[in-house]
This record gives sequence, structure tokens and C-alpha cells, in this order.
Amino acid sequence: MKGYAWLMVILCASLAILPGCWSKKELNELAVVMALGVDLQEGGGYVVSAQVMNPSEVGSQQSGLSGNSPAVTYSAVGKTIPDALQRMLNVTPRMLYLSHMRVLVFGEEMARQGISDVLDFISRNHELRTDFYLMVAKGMDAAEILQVVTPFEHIPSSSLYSSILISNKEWAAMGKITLQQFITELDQSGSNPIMSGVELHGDPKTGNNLENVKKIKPDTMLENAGLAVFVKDRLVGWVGEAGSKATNYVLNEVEMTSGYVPCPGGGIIGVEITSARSKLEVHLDKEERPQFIVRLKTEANLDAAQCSVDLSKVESIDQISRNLEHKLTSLLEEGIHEVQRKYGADIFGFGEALHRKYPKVWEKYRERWEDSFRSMEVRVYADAEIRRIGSIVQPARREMERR
Amino acid sequence: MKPKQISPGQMLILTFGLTVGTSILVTPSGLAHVAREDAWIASLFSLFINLLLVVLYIILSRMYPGKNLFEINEAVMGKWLGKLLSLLYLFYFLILTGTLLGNLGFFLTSEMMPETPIEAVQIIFLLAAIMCARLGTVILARVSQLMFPWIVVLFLILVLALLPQIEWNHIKPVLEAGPLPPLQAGYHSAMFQELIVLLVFLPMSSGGKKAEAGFLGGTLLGAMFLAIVVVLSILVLGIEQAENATFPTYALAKTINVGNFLQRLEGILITIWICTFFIKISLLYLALLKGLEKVFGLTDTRSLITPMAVLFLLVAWHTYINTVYVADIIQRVWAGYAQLHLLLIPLALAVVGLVRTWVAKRRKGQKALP
Amino acid sequence: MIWRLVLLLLVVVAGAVQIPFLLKARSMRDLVMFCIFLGITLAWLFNDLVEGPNLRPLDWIRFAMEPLKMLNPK
Repeated sequence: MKGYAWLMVILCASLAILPGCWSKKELNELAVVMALGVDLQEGGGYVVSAQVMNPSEVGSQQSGLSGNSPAVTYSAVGKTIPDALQRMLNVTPRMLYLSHMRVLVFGEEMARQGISDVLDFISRNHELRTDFYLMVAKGMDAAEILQVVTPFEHIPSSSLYSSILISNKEWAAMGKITLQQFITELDQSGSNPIMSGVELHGDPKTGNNLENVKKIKPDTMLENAGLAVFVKDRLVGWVGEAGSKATNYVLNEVEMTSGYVPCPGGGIIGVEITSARSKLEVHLDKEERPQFIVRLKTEANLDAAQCSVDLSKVESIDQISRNLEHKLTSLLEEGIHEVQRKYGADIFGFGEALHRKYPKVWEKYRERWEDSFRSMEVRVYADAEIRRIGSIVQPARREMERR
Repeated sequence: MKPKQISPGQMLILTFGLTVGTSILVTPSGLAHVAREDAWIASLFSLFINLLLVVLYIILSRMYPGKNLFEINEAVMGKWLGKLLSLLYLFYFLILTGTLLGNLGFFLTSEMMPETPIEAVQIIFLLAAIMCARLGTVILARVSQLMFPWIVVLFLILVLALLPQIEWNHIKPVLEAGPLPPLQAGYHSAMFQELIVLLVFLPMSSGGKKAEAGFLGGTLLGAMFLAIVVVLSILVLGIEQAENATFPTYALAKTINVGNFLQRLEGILITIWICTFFIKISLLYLALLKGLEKVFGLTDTRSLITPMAVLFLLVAWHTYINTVYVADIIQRVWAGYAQLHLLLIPLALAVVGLVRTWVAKRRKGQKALP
Repeated sequence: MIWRLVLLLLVVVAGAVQIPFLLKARSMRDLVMFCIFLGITLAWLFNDLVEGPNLRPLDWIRFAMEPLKMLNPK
């Protein structure tokens, strides 16, 4: 019996150490890639940039900015992405480890060319997961975006990641697209994908330097910039703030956002949307042509009254709600029509809604949905309820004028 | 020597393990390919077919109480034809085991540990199966009893953690291409649950009716697990990605993200599949040994364990050359081949058996008259 | 290739250990069966080691199922 006990102990101990030992990767052999950038190389091929975390600078308790940069960006060229990544090993001191990638940035030129080949590598590789965000660098190469030192967050890609996460929650003009979402929208016949955009403000050369973040107002900063509209896998254009808001509302991505509406009696009043839910509906008219309806239900609070309306009266609140509904309806309709007419890209998923409800009718449209979509009728019905008005009742202006 | 008994509860767990096996890793993509969004209907139909097959096996078992599959073959078809039939089954089990081993090796090395050679993974696994084969069915039943709660708990974690990510729209449109594709896909997929293997072990189970209930219950439970996985694959991943993934359940586990806190759990969830896979391979191993014992009248099959293991590995290395070759042949040929062993032969046995008893009764009746 | 050699070693060792055991147990059938299995595995291993024709059981099955093709479910 004693022999058995020893055997058990040895087996359990080896269970703690041995599993997977053939494939072991020690932490000090890995270069953790936090962001990947893909650009076009003249003459075919890709320029791949990898932003790698410098653990000694990030993990230290004292100010990590005294000394080396918290992240290093390597670049290499290759006919395929793994080709480029392997070539990068010429320069990197460690093996590249992709599982912790937070952000994948495409250069604008690259995105206009078509990114399905890049997506194949990303999906096929077993190290990569599906939860990182995709972005397009507006008007520049991805490599330049990855070479900026950001304040606050030590690692620039974490900064990008967090800013997308947070701003998507609180500000409707920001898009948040994971790989999973993008591929689903790409492969579905009834929808076209979108991607968030990022741009660089200031001079890329100064952004490269640690000095950039030693100032109170850094010279060079990264900023999120609207949504990039794709038709199939090619970038066709950009949507500005209003259009991005509209898109996010239709896609049911808005959690909280802020805006303003005209105040009854002049001036404007700020509203904070606290909940927004949208549903896409499809109806067929007499000739079996689809008509799309977006129903939006929102709840809002008042947050800034820049007028002198009497907020203790129910009629005022009702009027403000109606103004909000009007504003939302026109915002969404304009946004949808802009994308419809300019790009013919169904980034809202109307085609997919048609597919789900009337599959037989969808068969007629599916081949040339991008063309048909341009002339589809879309109507928006918005419903807004004002809930809370904040800590004071009457607007400050009104109180002052009353004196 | 009267063989030791396994309890009906253990019978249920063994059946469950066999049904889930490695199917849990790959069924969603197979079904999604043919049935698209209706893959869930297909998997429910597959469950139904499996239950019917089990009922057939139970009928067969009741006609020849206490006899396992190989004994039934001989009882119905006579000694030599019966042995031939049993040999067919043994070959089927052999190829099955080799393919399973290959499947596991490929899964672990392509998703988790690409630097590890496949052979190493397979040999280590086989060592565990060898130990189990040496110790016998009862030990396997007890081990599977120990593993069962873990399998269920981890599975519940998988399901519950995925609930926040369900998009109900993914399952529409329903029955877009009509009812035929899901039914076809369901029948096709039902041929991959080799429940006939348990007919080798049914006589060893105590409790008569209760053992049969365990058999049915295990099938139900296992097929339900598979159906849940298929439904979740469609709801969470969407049909495009579920269809294109080589191991859709693993891709499913990768998407778990509860509050940005509970993520990257797929490594732990692999435990589910390792456990069920172990049960399946050990059952096949023991079934093969029992079959050899019956067909050739051997006294002790323990000496054959090591050569069999080597044979498994050789079969694995020669069938699973790459995933495309295997997927192609299995898609085209295997369902028909399996159908032979799972449906046609047992049906034939049942019919012939019924005819024989009917003839025998009539003869008895005639003899008793004067 | 090295894995084939590992298996070869295993088979030889298993054979060496089991055969005297089987002889003692005096069961002709067990011994014959064991030797047959040993023979099959050794033959297959040698076939692989000398790079003989690649035996593929799945192809055999496909070949055997050819005449029965009408039975194939879709």
C-alpha cells in the first residue's frame, strides 16, 4: 500500500509540471503582441507592424516612463502575413505571441484593396481569438498609428482598446467591431460590415517620442474617427459623426449618449439618452416589394437646459420629448439615406431582416442586393420618453431672468 | 465465472459517454453544412433516430437474454455465419477506434499544442486506455461515475456562460429549404453514434429492465447534450462561422466572455471532451477484447491488449493522414458503412430471430399434439 | 519514423514478456491469437519502415462500399 501512495504522489506532482511540456512557452521567451497593423506593400504583399509590449516598463511600480518606451513596434514585409511575421523574427529578440492582441489596424489603402485574405489568416491561426477590435487608419498607414506613444495607458494598443470600449458605451458615434461581428456581417448575404476608424492628430514624427506624453497637452494624439463602410471586403467610404450615431442606433449598439434638441421658446436643451432599443421590421407591399421600418424606443434625461422654458409644466416636457423624437427620426433617416445613396452598402442588416422573415422574397434580391438597396424604402419611427430632469427644476437662465 | 455486474446508473453514464464521445466536437459544422439554420431540428431528429435504434437493440437483447452482441450473432445465424458477422463488427470497431484516436490527436495539436507531435498525444492517451482495458469493465464503470459530475458541471458552465451572447436572430429563417434537409442531416448524423457497442455490455448490467432504462436514458442525455451544443453554436456563432470551423465547439468555448472577467476558459472545457473521449475509447477497447474472446474461444484476452494498442496507433496514423482526406471519405462513405452495422444487421438479426422462434414454437406445438 | 521504431520496440518487448507467460498457461488458442496479432503488427511496422505501399483502411472501406452505394444515406 505504501508503494501505491508514493506512486500517487509522484504522479500528482508530475501532473503539475509535465502537461504540455513539449509545447511549453516560457514567459521570458515570448514577445506579447498587443496590436497588429497591416498595410499594402507596393508590388503585392503586406507590410505587417506588430506592437509588442515591453514588460519591464509596464509592470514596474514606479513611473514606467523613466527610461524605455513601454511598447516597441516592429515592421516586416511579406507575401502573406505569417511570412511577414516570421521575417520579423530577424529583429525581435523573442517569439511573437499573438493571443493577447487587442486591436487590428488596417491602413486605409489596404482596406480599399480588400481584406478578405488578411481575414483568412486571422481566422485560421489558432493563437488568435475573435474578441479584438478592428479599425481602419483614416488617411494613413496602420504602421504610423502603431508608432504613437499615448498618455495615461502605458501600452498604446490598450489605450486604443479602452477608448473604443468606453466611448462605445457612452457615446453613440463610436463603433466597436470585433472580428466575430465583422466576419458574420461579411459572410451574410444580407448585410455589409463596418469598422471603426482611427486617426492621428498632430505630427507622426513627434508622436514617436516619449517626449510626446511628458507634456500636459501632447502634440500628437490618436482619435477615434467615425465609421468605415465596407461593401463586401473593400472599404468604400467613411461616415461622419451624425451618420455613425444613426448607424449605431439602428444596430442597437447605443447604451448611452448625449445630444441636444430645440427648446420650446428658443434655445437648446441637452438630453442624455439612457436607453435605446431598436427593431428592424419588414413588410411587403402589394407588389411584393419590401418596405423597411426601424422602430426606436428611447429613454432620456435632461442634462443641460440652455433656455428659459418652464420645466415644472408637463406640456414643456411633452414638447421636449416630441422634439427629441423628431430629431432622432430625422437623424436616423438622414444617416440611413446617406449610406444608402452614397455607397449602396446595407450596413444595417435590412437584407438579413428580409431573409429572416421572407426567405422566398429574399431569393429574388440576394444576388444584387447592393444595387436594390439603394432604392429601398426605409422609414423610422422614434419614441422618446423623458424620465428625469436632474437636481434642479427650473433652468438657470430662467431663474436669473426672473430676478 | 459469472462476469461482475455494472449497475444501471453506470450503464447510463457509459452510454452517455459513448454518445457524446468526440461527436460533441464536430457535429455542429456537419449539420450546419446541410441543414443551415435548421441544424437544431436535425440534431433533435438524430436524437429520435438514436432512441429508435436503442429500442431495436433492447428488443434484440430481450429475445436472447443474457447474451451480448457476439453471442446473439451466433445464436441467430448459427456458429460460423455468426462468427463472420462478429468479425465484421470487430473490424468496424477497430477502424472506429483508430479514427477516434486520430481525431483527438489532431484536435489537440492543431488548437492547443501545435509543437507537440501527434503520436505523443495519442500514445499517452492510449496508455490510459490500456490501463483501463487491463482492469476491466467494472473499473471503467466506476471511473466514469467519478468523471460524470465533472462533465456535467463543466458543461453547465459552458452553457450558462454563453447565454449572454445568444443572438436569437441567428436561428431564423426556420425551415427555409423545407423539412427535408434537416431530416436528412439528422439521419446522417445519427449514424455516427455507435450505440451498438453497448449491446456488448448490456448483459453485464444488473437489473434487467432498469439496465435497459439506463441504456435509453444515457442515449437521451448524450444526444441532448449534442443538441444543446448544436443550438448554441448556431445562436452564438451564427451559421456562417459554425459551418466553417473545423472544431466548432472549441470555437464556441473561445467566445465565452462574462463581464470581461470570465474569459479564455476553453482550456478547462476541453476536460469535458477528454473525459467522454476516454470513456468511448475504453468501451471500444473492451468491446474488441470481448469480441475476440467470443469469436475465437480464448480464455484470457489480456495478452492481446498491447498488440491491439499498437494496431490502434497504426490504424490512426494511416487513416488520419490529414483532416481533409478523412472528412471527405467520412462524409461520403462512412454513413453507409455505419448504417450497415448500426441498423441493417441488427434489423436482420431481429427479423431472423423472430422467424426462428416462431418456427420453433410451431414445431414444438406440432410435437406436443400427439 | 522514430515513432514506428518506438512501437516496434514495444511490440518486441510485449512479445518477449507475454510468450513465456502464455506458454505456461498452456492455452493453444491464446498463444496462436497472440502470435497472429504480433505478426500483423510487425508486418505493418516493417511495411512502414521500409517505405512500402501506404495501407489505408479508409480506402478499403470505400472500396468495399462501392457495390452497396445505393444504400448510402444522403
